[in-house]
Amino acid sequence: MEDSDKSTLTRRGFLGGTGLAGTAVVLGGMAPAAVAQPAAAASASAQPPSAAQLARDTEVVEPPAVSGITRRPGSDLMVELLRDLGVEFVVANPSSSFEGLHESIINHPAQPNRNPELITALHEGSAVDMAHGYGKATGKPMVVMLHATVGLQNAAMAIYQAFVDKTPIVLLIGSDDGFIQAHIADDLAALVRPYTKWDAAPRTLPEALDAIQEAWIQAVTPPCAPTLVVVDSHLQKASAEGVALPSLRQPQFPLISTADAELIASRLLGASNPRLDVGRLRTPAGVERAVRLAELTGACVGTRANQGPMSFPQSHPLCGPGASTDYDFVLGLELPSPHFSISGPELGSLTGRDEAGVGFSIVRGRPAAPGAAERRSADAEASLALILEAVLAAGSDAARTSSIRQRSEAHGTRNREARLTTLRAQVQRRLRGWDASPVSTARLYAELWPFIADEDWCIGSQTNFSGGHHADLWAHDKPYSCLGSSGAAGIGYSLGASVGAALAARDHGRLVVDFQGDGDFNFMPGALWTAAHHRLPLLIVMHNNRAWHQELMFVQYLTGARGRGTDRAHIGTTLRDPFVNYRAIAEGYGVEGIGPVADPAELAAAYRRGIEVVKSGRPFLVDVLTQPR
Amino acid sequence: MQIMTHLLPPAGFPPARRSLAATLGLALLSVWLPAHPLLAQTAGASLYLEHGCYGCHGHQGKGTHVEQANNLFPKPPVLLAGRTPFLVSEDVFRAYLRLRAEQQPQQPSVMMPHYSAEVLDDAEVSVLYAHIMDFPVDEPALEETVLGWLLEHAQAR
Ligand SMILES: Cc1ncc(C[n+]2csc(CCOP(=O)(O)OP(=O)(O)O)c2C)c(N)n1
Ligand SMILES: [Mg+2]
Repeated sequence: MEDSDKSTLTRRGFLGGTGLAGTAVVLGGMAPAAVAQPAAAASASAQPPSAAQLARDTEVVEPPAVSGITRRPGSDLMVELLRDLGVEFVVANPSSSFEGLHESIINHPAQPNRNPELITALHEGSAVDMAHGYGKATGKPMVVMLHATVGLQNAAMAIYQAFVDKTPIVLLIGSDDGFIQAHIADDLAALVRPYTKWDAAPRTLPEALDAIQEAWIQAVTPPCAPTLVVVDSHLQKASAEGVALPSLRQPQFPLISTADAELIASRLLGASNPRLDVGRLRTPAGVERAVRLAELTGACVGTRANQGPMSFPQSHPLCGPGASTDYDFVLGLELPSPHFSISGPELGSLTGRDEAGVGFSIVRGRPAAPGAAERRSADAEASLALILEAVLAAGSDAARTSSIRQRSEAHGTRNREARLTTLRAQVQRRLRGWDASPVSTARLYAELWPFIADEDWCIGSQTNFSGGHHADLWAHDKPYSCLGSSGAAGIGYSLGASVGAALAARDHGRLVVDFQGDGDFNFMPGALWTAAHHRLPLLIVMHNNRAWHQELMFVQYLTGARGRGTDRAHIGTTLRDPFVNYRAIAEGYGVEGIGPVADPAELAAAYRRGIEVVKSGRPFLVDVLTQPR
Repeated sequence: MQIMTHLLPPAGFPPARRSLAATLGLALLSVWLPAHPLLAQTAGASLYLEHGCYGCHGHQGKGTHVEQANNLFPKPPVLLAGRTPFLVSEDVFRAYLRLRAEQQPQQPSVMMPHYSAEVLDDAEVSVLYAHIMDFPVDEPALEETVLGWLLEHAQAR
């Protein structure tokens, strides 16, 4: 039942195409005026909803006289596919354009509301932030359902951040052409195309299933990113009779050649002091491979585990500068460089990471790597398997085994010393302002450590606004210990991302900490309700400096530079008059809280209570009045 | 310990631009009305808050622990007696504030705003200087804090 005109639409022509706007199927009972709006009219201005359409959206629901109510709807198949792809959670704010999918998730006979489980978000930006945090903690995509033009636009900034942050997410955009015309568009994906990696608008159920699978594959294949499928409501409701689930395809990760792997293996084994330098791999499996490679070769290792996810465990004996910093072969794995996934001497020609297909150079302000097209792209995590094979195949003689063992032991001793020496200096520096009120940001972090040091924990938020003291004071030993910053430095990310990280943690006895800026918090505080509702193990520590302090400092500098005095710089940059009561907000959303804590001596007791609650499977908020930085 | 429930001003507090006398008066009032937690306790504290010194140097001049953060450049000095050359004497302090204003007002060679006599007069500078010089310099011993535990815990691992 397709409208043949639809195939003539150019997918770049959002609200400006030449065909008919979304007339794929005319469902029985729909007012004819509600369909077949020429796109030309829409391009001048999207049509406001008619009285009848508004009534359907705001009053008692008049059930649409759907012709094909079916016991086996297309959306059931979609849910089965998500299950088979290993999707644990689908997050959404409810909307009629994906009511078919919604109903299938919660009522699927084989697995009602489990794998995937429906997670309720209060704002689409929160929903995507949750997927962003979950994606970074696990390396796996969460699915976000978004409602057409309006939901997608609410989500846009969060999608942008996940894209810049190379995080896999699958976005399913509901679209229902039988209803409010301002909610549909010829080309919904155009709203976010510059910062999604791949999108599709399938027109049949088999196409939709293929597209969902392809979106999942594209999301997890480097460069990892959000992908998008417009899932028309009639496809969700169409009968699935005679339609089979597509066979599952494995993502193809770009690999180095066997010869390259052998070259790297022989360099590592031949070196007298090899080193690995590890950035952000894709999944915990990649981290395991890096650990194995270091252990097999006796290489000391540099890590980014205190700055972001999926890096080398900091307390591993091989992690650190090693017994000597005179390295004769350094293998870089997914370092922060924009262009290289694997780097090392003599490897320049085989290590291009192909980002050309992403097409985001304008907003990113970063030209494509010179020669990127000629270079072969390679994924470090997948290629590590080949390198490991080559190392194992090279075999070992007694002399090499013993020199690797000796080297590893020397590294272990020296790395431990180095860690303790650094820590001694770092704790000393944190004594400054220790007893001050408001509480020093160093103390904010230090007082929490005794309560979690021996737990399985994850920092879900960005931490740079609150001093990031965990980086020097804590030991980051899990792929998810620290999920890092927001991607594009967009504020409003931390709470949602931490809720997503807590979803990843919930069934694993892990707890999540959110160091939460007050400015950041106030964008989408509703994520608190999601944490309460889904019983998430999340400790929210408010870095409450009662300001958008970063901006206060900028305005203050400028007022001074212009010679007009700094005494009004607080206008528009501070959260005073009235102060915000975060504990009350938390309690309003069903989250227990303490605060505001101004006396640093009271912090430990507040954390003790908080961790107790979090370990019982509920979120908790500690509001702390802090020094500005 | 003094707990500062921080960041001024109570409702109806006038914009900060006012004479030292008024500042002193309000500070006295605040001593006289100690129940009001939002008022800075002294004229110096009041100036330190209103002019936003705390923004980069912290509420007690202890700096802002930003060495790891990338937000301020250059890193703001700790405002403790003996730790920064600009505090050697009131004259040097005043000269630093003024020179920045008079010599290179638009030159952002350092991040600190500058303060001409019009926005911070000599008497106010004097009061502010005294306040800064009064900041407590003591630090607790490591073992008395959780930082000591932290180190021990790492050593025991
Ligand atoms: C979406 C968005 N809006 C505005 C900004 C500008 N901005 C940068 S830092 C900041 C203040 C953040 O406030 P808070 O989270 O309280 O951190 P603080 O600087 O106070 O420590 C703002 C508004 C931004 N980066 N992103
Ligand atoms: Mg703030």
